[in-house]
Amino acid sequence: MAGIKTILCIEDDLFIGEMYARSLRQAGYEVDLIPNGEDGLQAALNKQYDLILLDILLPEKFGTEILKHLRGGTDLVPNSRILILTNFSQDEESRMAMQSKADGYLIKADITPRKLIDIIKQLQAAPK
Amino acid sequence: MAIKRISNHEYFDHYKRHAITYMVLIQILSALLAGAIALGLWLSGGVAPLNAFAISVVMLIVLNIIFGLVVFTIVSQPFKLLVQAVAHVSKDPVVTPPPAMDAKKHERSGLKSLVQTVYELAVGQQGNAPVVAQSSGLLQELAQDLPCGLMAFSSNGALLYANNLAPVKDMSNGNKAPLLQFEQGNSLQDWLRESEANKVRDTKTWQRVADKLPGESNRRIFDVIAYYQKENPAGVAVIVVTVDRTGSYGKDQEDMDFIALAAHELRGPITVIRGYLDVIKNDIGANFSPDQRELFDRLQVSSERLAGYVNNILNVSRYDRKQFQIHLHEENLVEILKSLVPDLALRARTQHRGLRFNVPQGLPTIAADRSSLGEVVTNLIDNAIKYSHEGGGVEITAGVKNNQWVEVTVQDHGIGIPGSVIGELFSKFYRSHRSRQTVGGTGLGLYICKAIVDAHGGSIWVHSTEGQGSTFGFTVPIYSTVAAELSAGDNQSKDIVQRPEGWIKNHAMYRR
Repeated sequence: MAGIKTILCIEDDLFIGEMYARSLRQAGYEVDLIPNGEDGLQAALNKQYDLILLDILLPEKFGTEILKHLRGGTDLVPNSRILILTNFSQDEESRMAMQSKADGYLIKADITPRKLIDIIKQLQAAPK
Repeated sequence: MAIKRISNHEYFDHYKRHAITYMVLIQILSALLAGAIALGLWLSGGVAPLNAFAISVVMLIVLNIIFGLVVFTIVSQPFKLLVQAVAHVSKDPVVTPPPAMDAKKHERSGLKSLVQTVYELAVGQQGNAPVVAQSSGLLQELAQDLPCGLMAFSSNGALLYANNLAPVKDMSNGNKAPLLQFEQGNSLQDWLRESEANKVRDTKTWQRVADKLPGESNRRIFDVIAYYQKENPAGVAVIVVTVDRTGSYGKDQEDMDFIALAAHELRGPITVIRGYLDVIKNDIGANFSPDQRELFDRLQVSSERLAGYVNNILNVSRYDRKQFQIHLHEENLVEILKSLVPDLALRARTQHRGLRFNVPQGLPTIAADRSSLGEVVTNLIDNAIKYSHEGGGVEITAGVKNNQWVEVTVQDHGIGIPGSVIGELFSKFYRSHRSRQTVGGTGLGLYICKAIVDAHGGSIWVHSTEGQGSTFGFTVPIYSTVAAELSAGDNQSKDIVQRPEGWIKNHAMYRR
């Protein structure tokens, strides 16, 4: 698989979502920003993204449910990477993300957009 | 007047003396009565001597029968009470009331002590059974309905008895087992082993011991008190009392949820502030004047500190509720320090302090939780910056200690710490009187540093001279010394890369 070009950002906090979208677009990525869980899940299923940035506490559908839907059984997005981006640092959620085959679990408050881009580059440097 | 106690083995002699006395007295009494009647009849002249003799013989027989019955009732009473006690403690289908032993004469005769022994033996005998004893015996009936949990264990840790409120679970083999989630290394069994080896008597208390894991329904939280006695004749080595504190501890759980939610809410704006500062610096940072750059850097440092404080609060909250977990992996200390340098150097520069790292490249890898260890280093360096003088330097060194540890030290040349308070430094909310006057802080940083280092199996220390500065140091294990242990207990994926801010999968590993 080629590197990461298209990114779906499912994030209900407009300030945070637009911050990531702006920085990622400046860095050359195509970014779709979806502010609720249900629409985010549909978007992930309808279009093949290289990377899905997934918040946990989302309106309509929690990120954990979306992750379970996408990766709980058959992997519905085998060509996408999924990074959980949350401000909840609960061990249980982190463990669940690991079990549900997410590609990462990051605390938003502890990363800046530049660090996020570094991490994405680290992910795309290796074939999935 | 005090009652003379008669021991069990003396009881029969005592009883025999009494019974013989009764028998002899009654025989004499009946013979005298019969003789007196015969003599009376003969002397009155109304009856012939032969007839008077015959009447006296008949009277003797009748009196002997009557008095014999009275003597039997008296001398057989202890036997009757003992039989009643045995029937009461046995699983007799006919319900037998316990013998009435309140009379002073029973205590005086030693019978009460003898009956008591029957009950004690009965409890001990049932205690040896592998299943939980059913209610039998007065004491067990009382224990069964105690308003707290009561359990008895043998010296090998087998459950001998559990009352109604004891937290136990049914096993597939029909037995019962205690249902208490002790911390690893601090369980009832660990304490029992330790007590068996070193103690004659001991008492221990645990707080906040749950019967189920978090999230399971009807979870109860107990305070647990255990009493140990070596070679107890009843076969009970440990008595455990559990007090259900779910009502009051449940509230703490709500508090913790509140802290987790509050931290989540705080982190939202912190994400935005840190993120947009990063964006602004990226967009127009090159055009800042030196003044603007310094002001901007201060904003950035403050936002990073804020993120660090929130992490400290969350960690302390978890640690205090025994939910703090670390995951040890093979890590390179130099790499961890390198990842922290940009933020830490900025913090030092904005406060006009210098950071000097003296860390050799060839250090062995360590067993560490990267994120938590990063917090320790950040907290210690942050403190060194705070408590050093304007223009001062902070030195960070690392080296191998005793072939088993990697030791990291952080030294400042600042205000130092008075000897009188140095022992308190790692306590929660502790800040010295001097630090309160000169610099701010929550008093959580060193507390959580110690918790994290302890969790790594290492130790944290401080040397300080007031007015000259302080050196804080901590040790973490060299990976090779604990590798076997970790690989045995670690069921986490090996392809996970821990980062200070979370984890990502190391897809590069799939190249191999």
